[in-house]
Amino acid sequence: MYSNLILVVKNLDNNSQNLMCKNIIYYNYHKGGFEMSEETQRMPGPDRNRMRLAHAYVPFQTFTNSYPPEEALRRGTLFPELYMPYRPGRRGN
Amino acid sequence: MARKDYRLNLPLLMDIMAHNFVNVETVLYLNTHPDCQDVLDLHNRNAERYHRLVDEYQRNYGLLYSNYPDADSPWRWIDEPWPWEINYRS
Amino acid sequence: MWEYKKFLEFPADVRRKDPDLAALIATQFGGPDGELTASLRYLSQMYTMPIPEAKATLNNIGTEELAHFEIIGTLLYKLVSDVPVDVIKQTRFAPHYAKWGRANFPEDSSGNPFTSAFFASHEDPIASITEDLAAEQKARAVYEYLLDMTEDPAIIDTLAFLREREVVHFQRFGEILNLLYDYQDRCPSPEY
Repeated sequence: MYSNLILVVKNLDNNSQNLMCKNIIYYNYHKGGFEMSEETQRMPGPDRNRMRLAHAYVPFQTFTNSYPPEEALRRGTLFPELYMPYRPGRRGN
Repeated sequence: MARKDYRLNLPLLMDIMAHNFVNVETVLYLNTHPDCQDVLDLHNRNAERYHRLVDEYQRNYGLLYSNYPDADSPWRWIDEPWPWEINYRS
Repeated sequence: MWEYKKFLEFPADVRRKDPDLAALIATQFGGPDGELTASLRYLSQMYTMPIPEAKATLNNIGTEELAHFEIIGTLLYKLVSDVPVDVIKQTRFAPHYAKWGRANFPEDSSGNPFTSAFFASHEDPIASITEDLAAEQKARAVYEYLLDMTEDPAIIDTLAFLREREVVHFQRFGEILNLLYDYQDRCPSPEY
Protein backbone atom coordinates (compact mmCIF):
# COMPACT_ATOMS: atom_id res chain seq x y z
CA MET A 1 0.00 0.00 0.00
CA TYR A 2 1.01 3.54 -0.51
CA SER A 3 1.40 4.00 3.22
CA ASN A 4 4.09 1.36 3.60
CA LEU A 5 7.48 2.92 4.02
CA ILE A 6 9.71 0.46 2.20
CA LEU A 7 12.44 0.51 -0.36
CA VAL A 8 13.93 -2.11 -2.59
CA VAL A 9 17.09 -1.32 -4.49
CA LYS A 10 18.55 -3.24 -7.36
CA ASN A 11 22.28 -3.28 -7.90
CA LEU A 12 22.93 -1.28 -10.99
CA ASP A 13 26.10 -0.11 -12.54
CA ASN A 14 26.44 3.54 -11.53
CA ASN A 15 27.30 4.46 -15.11
CA SER A 16 24.12 2.98 -16.47
CA GLN A 17 22.54 5.11 -19.12
CA ASN A 18 19.45 2.95 -19.18
CA LEU A 19 16.49 5.28 -19.53
CA MET A 20 13.95 2.66 -20.55
CA CYS A 21 11.07 3.31 -18.20
CA LYS A 22 9.21 0.12 -18.85
CA ASN A 23 11.98 -2.07 -17.46
CA ILE A 24 14.07 -0.37 -14.86
CA ILE A 25 13.84 3.20 -13.77
CA TYR A 26 17.25 4.52 -12.97
CA TYR A 27 16.82 7.91 -11.57
CA ASN A 28 20.09 9.68 -11.98
CA TYR A 29 20.48 12.66 -9.71
CA HIS A 30 24.08 13.53 -8.98
CA LYS A 31 24.81 9.95 -9.98
CA GLY A 32 22.72 8.55 -7.16
CA GLY A 33 19.15 7.70 -6.48
CA PHE A 34 16.89 4.80 -5.78
CA GLU A 35 15.72 2.53 -8.53
CA MET A 36 12.77 0.17 -8.69
CA SER A 37 11.89 -2.34 -11.36
CA GLU A 38 8.33 -3.04 -12.35
CA GLU A 39 8.32 -6.30 -10.41
CA THR A 40 9.86 -4.92 -7.29
CA GLN A 41 7.88 -1.75 -6.82
CA ARG A 42 5.35 -3.71 -4.83
CA MET A 43 7.71 -5.97 -2.92
CA PRO A 44 7.70 -5.64 0.83
CA GLY A 45 10.74 -5.58 3.07
CA PRO A 46 13.53 -3.06 3.34
CA ASP A 47 16.98 -3.33 1.84
CA ARG A 48 19.09 -2.56 4.84
CA ASN A 49 22.15 -1.89 2.72
CA ARG A 50 20.70 1.40 1.46
CA MET A 51 18.18 2.41 4.11
CA ARG A 52 19.10 4.16 7.30
CA LEU A 53 17.52 4.15 10.73
CA ALA A 54 15.36 7.17 11.53
CA HIS A 55 14.68 7.78 7.82
CA ALA A 56 11.31 7.33 6.12
CA TYR A 57 11.18 5.95 2.56
CA VAL A 58 8.55 5.67 -0.16
CA PRO A 59 9.41 3.56 -3.23
CA PHE A 60 9.88 5.37 -6.53
CA GLN A 61 7.10 4.74 -8.98
CA THR A 62 8.03 2.99 -12.23
CA PHE A 63 5.95 3.92 -15.25
CA THR A 64 4.08 0.99 -16.75
CA ASN A 65 1.14 2.35 -18.72
CA SER A 66 -1.54 5.03 -18.51
CA TYR A 67 -5.33 5.30 -18.55
CA PRO A 68 -6.98 7.18 -21.44
CA PRO A 69 -7.70 10.82 -20.49
CA GLU A 70 -11.43 10.53 -19.61
CA GLU A 71 -10.81 7.48 -17.48
CA ALA A 72 -7.80 9.08 -15.78
CA LEU A 73 -9.93 12.07 -14.81
CA ARG A 74 -12.70 9.86 -13.49
CA ARG A 75 -10.32 7.75 -11.38
CA GLY A 76 -8.20 10.67 -10.17
CA THR A 77 -4.89 9.39 -11.53
CA LEU A 78 -3.24 8.67 -14.87
CA PHE A 79 -1.39 5.62 -13.51
CA PRO A 80 -3.02 2.23 -12.72
CA GLU A 81 -0.40 1.40 -10.08
CA LEU A 82 -1.41 4.50 -8.10
CA TYR A 83 -5.16 3.87 -8.27
CA MET A 84 -6.11 2.90 -4.68
CA PRO A 85 -9.83 3.54 -4.12
CA TYR A 86 -11.49 3.79 -0.73
CA ARG A 87 -13.32 0.68 0.41
CA PRO A 88 -15.72 1.63 3.23
CA GLY A 89 -15.25 -0.58 6.27
CA ARG A 90 -11.49 -0.73 5.81
CA ARG A 91 -10.56 2.42 7.65
CA GLY A 92 -7.07 3.71 7.09
CA ASN A 93 -6.29 1.77 3.94
CA MET B 1 -22.27 43.92 -18.43
CA ALA B 2 -22.20 40.14 -18.58
CA ARG B 3 -23.91 38.41 -21.44
CA LYS B 4 -25.81 35.18 -20.96
CA ASP B 5 -25.26 33.95 -24.50
CA TYR B 6 -21.86 32.38 -23.88
CA ARG B 7 -21.85 29.30 -26.03
CA LEU B 8 -20.99 26.47 -23.72
CA ASN B 9 -19.79 23.36 -25.52
CA LEU B 10 -19.85 20.94 -22.62
CA PRO B 11 -18.51 17.83 -24.40
CA LEU B 12 -15.55 19.80 -25.75
CA LEU B 13 -14.96 21.42 -22.36
CA MET B 14 -14.98 18.00 -20.67
CA ASP B 15 -12.45 16.78 -23.23
CA ILE B 16 -10.28 19.77 -22.39
CA MET B 17 -10.61 19.02 -18.68
CA ALA B 18 -9.50 15.43 -19.27
CA HIS B 19 -6.43 16.50 -21.24
CA ASN B 20 -5.63 19.16 -18.67
CA PHE B 21 -5.71 16.48 -15.99
CA VAL B 22 -3.33 14.22 -17.92
CA ASN B 23 -0.98 17.21 -18.04
CA VAL B 24 -1.23 17.69 -14.27
CA GLU B 25 -0.19 14.06 -13.83
CA THR B 26 2.64 14.03 -16.36
CA VAL B 27 4.14 17.22 -14.91
CA LEU B 28 4.09 15.80 -11.38
CA TYR B 29 5.64 12.53 -12.56
CA LEU B 30 8.34 14.21 -14.64
CA ASN B 31 9.28 16.53 -11.74
CA THR B 32 10.62 13.46 -9.92
CA HIS B 33 11.52 11.36 -12.99
CA PRO B 34 13.05 13.92 -15.37
CA ASP B 35 14.75 11.29 -17.53
CA CYS B 36 11.71 9.18 -18.30
CA GLN B 37 11.35 9.33 -22.07
CA ASP B 38 8.09 7.37 -22.21
CA VAL B 39 6.23 9.84 -20.01
CA LEU B 40 7.90 12.77 -21.71
CA ASP B 41 6.51 11.54 -25.05
CA LEU B 42 3.07 11.06 -23.50
CA HIS B 43 3.30 14.55 -22.01
CA ASN B 44 4.18 16.18 -25.32
CA ARG B 45 1.49 14.37 -27.30
CA ASN B 46 -1.11 15.25 -24.70
CA ALA B 47 -0.06 18.89 -24.44
CA GLU B 48 -0.22 19.26 -28.20
CA ARG B 49 -3.76 17.90 -28.26
CA TYR B 50 -4.75 20.05 -25.27
CA HIS B 51 -3.66 23.25 -26.99
CA ARG B 52 -5.51 22.38 -30.18
CA LEU B 53 -8.72 21.70 -28.22
CA VAL B 54 -8.36 24.94 -26.26
CA ASP B 55 -7.77 26.88 -29.46
CA GLU B 56 -10.91 25.39 -31.01
CA TYR B 57 -12.91 26.25 -27.89
CA GLN B 58 -11.69 29.82 -27.64
CA ARG B 59 -12.24 30.53 -31.33
CA ASN B 60 -15.79 29.15 -31.45
CA TYR B 61 -17.33 29.01 -27.99
CA GLY B 62 -15.83 31.01 -25.13
CA LEU B 63 -12.62 32.23 -23.52
CA LEU B 64 -10.76 29.88 -21.20
CA TYR B 65 -7.72 32.12 -20.70
CA SER B 66 -7.87 35.89 -20.20
CA ASN B 67 -4.89 36.49 -22.50
CA TYR B 68 -6.49 35.29 -25.75
CA PRO B 69 -4.99 37.59 -28.42
CA ASP B 70 -7.99 37.74 -30.72
CA ALA B 71 -10.59 38.95 -28.26
CA ASP B 72 -13.32 41.15 -29.61
CA SER B 73 -15.89 43.49 -28.26
CA PRO B 74 -17.74 43.20 -25.97
CA TRP B 75 -15.18 41.60 -23.65
CA ARG B 76 -16.28 37.98 -23.36
CA TRP B 77 -14.04 36.79 -20.52
CA ILE B 78 -16.79 37.88 -18.11
CA ASP B 79 -19.45 35.72 -19.76
CA GLU B 80 -21.44 33.23 -17.73
CA PRO B 81 -21.59 30.48 -16.77
CA TRP B 82 -18.46 30.49 -14.65
CA PRO B 83 -17.08 27.04 -13.86
CA TRP B 84 -18.88 26.66 -10.53
CA GLU B 85 -22.23 27.42 -12.20
CA ILE B 86 -22.11 24.70 -14.85
CA ASN B 87 -24.32 21.64 -14.51
CA TYR B 88 -21.88 18.94 -15.62
CA ARG B 89 -24.39 16.13 -15.52
CA SER B 90 -26.91 17.62 -17.90
CA MET C 1 2.89 33.53 -11.05
CA TRP C 2 -0.66 32.36 -11.23
CA GLU C 3 -3.09 32.25 -14.10
CA TYR C 4 -6.69 31.09 -13.98
CA LYS C 5 -8.10 28.58 -16.41
CA LYS C 6 -11.83 29.00 -16.78
CA PHE C 7 -12.76 25.39 -16.07
CA LEU C 8 -12.69 23.15 -12.98
CA GLU C 9 -10.05 20.44 -12.63
CA PHE C 10 -12.92 17.97 -12.07
CA PRO C 11 -16.63 18.29 -13.05
CA ALA C 12 -18.05 18.84 -9.56
CA ASP C 13 -21.81 18.45 -9.21
CA VAL C 14 -24.40 17.71 -6.57
CA ARG C 15 -27.46 15.55 -7.06
CA ARG C 16 -29.58 17.35 -4.48
CA LYS C 17 -29.32 20.45 -2.27
CA ASP C 18 -28.10 19.68 1.26
CA PRO C 19 -27.12 22.49 3.65
CA ASP C 20 -26.40 19.97 6.43
CA LEU C 21 -23.77 18.31 4.27
CA ALA C 22 -22.40 21.69 3.22
CA ALA C 23 -21.62 22.49 6.87
CA LEU C 24 -19.54 19.28 7.01
CA ILE C 25 -17.79 19.50 3.64
CA ALA C 26 -16.81 23.08 4.53
CA THR C 27 -13.98 21.62 6.60
CA GLN C 28 -12.11 20.95 3.34
CA PHE C 29 -12.56 24.60 2.32
CA GLY C 30 -11.11 26.25 5.43
CA GLY C 31 -10.34 23.56 7.98
CA PRO C 32 -7.06 22.10 9.29
CA ASP C 33 -6.71 19.41 6.62
CA GLY C 34 -8.46 21.29 3.85
CA GLU C 35 -7.33 22.42 0.44
CA LEU C 36 -6.51 26.01 1.39
CA THR C 37 -4.27 24.81 4.21
CA ALA C 38 -2.50 22.41 1.85
CA SER C 39 -2.03 25.03 -0.84
CA LEU C 40 -0.56 27.70 1.44
CA ARG C 41 1.67 25.13 3.15
CA TYR C 42 3.26 24.03 -0.12
CA LEU C 43 3.39 27.52 -1.65
CA SER C 44 5.16 28.74 1.50
CA GLN C 45 7.71 25.92 1.61
CA MET C 46 8.77 26.06 -2.02
CA TYR C 47 11.07 29.08 -1.78
CA THR C 48 13.82 27.61 0.37
CA MET C 49 13.95 24.07 -1.02
CA PRO C 50 17.54 23.13 -1.97
CA ILE C 51 16.77 21.04 -5.07
CA PRO C 52 14.82 21.98 -8.21
CA GLU C 53 12.65 18.87 -8.14
CA ALA C 54 11.31 19.97 -4.75
CA LYS C 55 10.62 23.53 -5.85
CA ALA C 56 8.74 22.29 -8.90
CA THR C 57 6.75 19.67 -7.00
CA LEU C 58 5.71 22.08 -4.23
CA ASN C 59 4.83 24.72 -6.79
CA ASN C 60 2.72 22.35 -8.91
CA ILE C 61 0.99 20.59 -6.03
CA GLY C 62 0.37 23.89 -4.21
CA THR C 63 -1.24 25.21 -7.37
CA GLU C 64 -3.34 22.08 -7.82
CA GLU C 65 -4.62 22.46 -4.26
CA LEU C 66 -5.99 25.89 -5.19
CA ALA C 67 -7.94 24.15 -7.96
CA HIS C 68 -9.24 21.77 -5.30
CA PHE C 69 -10.18 24.74 -3.09
CA GLU C 70 -12.26 25.90 -6.04
CA ILE C 71 -13.89 22.45 -6.38
CA ILE C 72 -14.90 22.38 -2.70
CA GLY C 73 -16.18 25.94 -3.07
CA THR C 74 -18.24 24.75 -6.02
CA LEU C 75 -19.76 21.87 -4.04
CA LEU C 76 -20.64 24.22 -1.17
CA TYR C 77 -22.13 26.79 -3.54
CA LYS C 78 -24.26 24.18 -5.29
CA LEU C 79 -25.40 22.55 -2.03
CA VAL C 80 -26.96 25.75 -0.66
CA SER C 81 -27.76 27.98 -3.62
CA ASP C 82 -31.50 28.65 -3.95
CA VAL C 83 -32.28 26.82 -0.71
CA PRO C 84 -34.89 28.93 1.12
CA VAL C 85 -33.94 30.42 4.48
CA ASP C 86 -36.83 28.53 6.13
CA VAL C 87 -35.09 25.30 5.21
CA ILE C 88 -31.58 26.51 6.00
CA LYS C 89 -32.42 27.55 9.54
CA GLN C 90 -33.36 23.96 10.42
CA THR C 91 -29.94 22.67 9.38
CA ARG C 92 -26.36 22.66 10.65
CA PHE C 93 -25.72 25.40 8.10
CA ALA C 94 -27.79 27.95 10.10
CA PRO C 95 -24.84 29.37 12.12
CA HIS C 96 -22.87 29.92 8.90
CA TYR C 97 -25.89 31.58 7.30
CA ALA C 98 -26.27 33.88 10.30
CA LYS C 99 -22.71 35.12 9.74
CA TRP C 100 -22.19 35.00 5.99
CA GLY C 101 -25.50 34.11 4.29
CA ARG C 102 -24.86 31.58 1.53
CA ALA C 103 -21.42 32.96 0.73
CA ASN C 104 -18.42 30.68 1.04
CA PHE C 105 -16.02 31.43 3.88
CA PRO C 106 -12.90 29.51 4.96
CA GLU C 107 -13.87 27.86 8.25
CA ASP C 108 -13.86 24.31 9.54
CA SER C 109 -17.03 22.27 10.08
CA SER C 110 -17.44 23.76 13.56
CA GLY C 111 -17.13 27.36 12.38
CA ASN C 112 -13.55 27.86 13.58
CA PRO C 113 -11.84 30.26 11.19
CA PHE C 114 -8.98 29.34 8.90
CA THR C 115 -5.56 30.04 10.35
CA SER C 116 -1.99 29.53 9.23
CA ALA C 117 -1.56 27.77 12.58
CA PHE C 118 -2.92 24.79 10.62
CA PHE C 119 0.45 24.30 8.90
CA ALA C 120 4.20 24.75 9.17
CA SER C 121 6.92 25.75 6.74
CA HIS C 122 10.49 24.92 7.69
CA GLU C 123 13.84 25.77 6.14
CA ASP C 124 14.87 22.22 7.03
CA PRO C 125 13.57 20.40 3.96
CA ILE C 126 13.20 17.01 5.65
CA ALA C 127 10.96 18.58 8.29
CA SER C 128 8.82 20.30 5.65
CA ILE C 129 8.43 17.30 3.35
CA THR C 130 7.67 14.97 6.27
CA GLU C 131 4.93 17.42 7.29
CA ASP C 132 3.67 17.29 3.71
CA LEU C 133 3.47 13.49 3.79
CA ALA C 134 1.46 13.69 7.01
CA ALA C 135 -0.76 16.40 5.52
CA GLU C 136 -1.67 14.24 2.53
CA GLN C 137 -2.59 11.34 4.81
CA LYS C 138 -4.76 13.57 6.98
CA ALA C 139 -6.55 14.98 3.96
CA ARG C 140 -7.10 11.47 2.59
CA ALA C 141 -8.55 10.40 5.95
CA VAL C 142 -10.92 13.38 6.05
CA TYR C 143 -12.18 12.60 2.55
CA GLU C 144 -12.94 9.09 3.78
CA TYR C 145 -14.86 10.46 6.77
CA LEU C 146 -16.86 12.67 4.40
CA LEU C 147 -17.44 9.82 1.93
CA ASP C 148 -18.88 7.85 4.85
CA MET C 149 -21.41 10.63 5.45
CA THR C 150 -23.12 11.02 2.06
CA GLU C 151 -24.97 8.91 -0.49
CA ASP C 152 -25.14 11.61 -3.15
CA PRO C 153 -23.44 9.92 -6.14
CA ALA C 154 -22.22 13.17 -7.69
CA ILE C 155 -20.61 14.29 -4.44
CA ILE C 156 -19.14 10.81 -3.93
CA ASP C 157 -17.46 11.04 -7.36
CA THR C 158 -15.94 14.41 -6.48
CA LEU C 159 -14.78 13.44 -2.98
CA ALA C 160 -13.31 10.19 -4.36
CA PHE C 161 -11.37 12.16 -6.97
CA LEU C 162 -10.00 14.54 -4.34
CA ARG C 163 -9.10 11.60 -2.09
CA GLU C 164 -7.20 9.84 -4.87
CA ARG C 165 -5.25 13.06 -5.52
CA GLU C 166 -3.99 12.92 -1.92
CA VAL C 167 -2.72 9.39 -2.53
CA VAL C 168 -0.81 10.55 -5.61
CA HIS C 169 0.56 13.62 -3.83
CA PHE C 170 1.83 11.40 -1.01
CA GLN C 171 3.73 9.35 -3.59
CA ARG C 172 5.33 12.46 -5.10
CA PHE C 173 6.37 13.90 -1.73
CA GLY C 174 7.83 10.50 -0.87
CA GLU C 175 9.92 10.62 -4.03
CA ILE C 176 11.09 14.14 -3.15
CA LEU C 177 12.15 12.86 0.28
CA ASN C 178 14.37 10.25 -1.39
CA LEU C 179 15.91 12.90 -3.64
CA LEU C 180 16.59 15.10 -0.61
CA TYR C 181 18.47 12.25 1.10
CA ASP C 182 20.61 11.91 -2.03
CA TYR C 183 21.20 15.65 -2.06
CA GLN C 184 22.23 15.67 1.58
CA ASP C 185 24.66 12.80 1.01
CA ARG C 186 26.31 14.59 -1.86
CA CYS C 187 26.05 18.19 -0.76
CA PRO C 188 26.46 18.51 3.00
CA SER C 189 25.10 21.69 4.52
CA PRO C 190 27.21 24.76 3.81
CA GLU C 191 28.76 26.63 6.72
CA TYR C 192 27.00 29.95 7.17
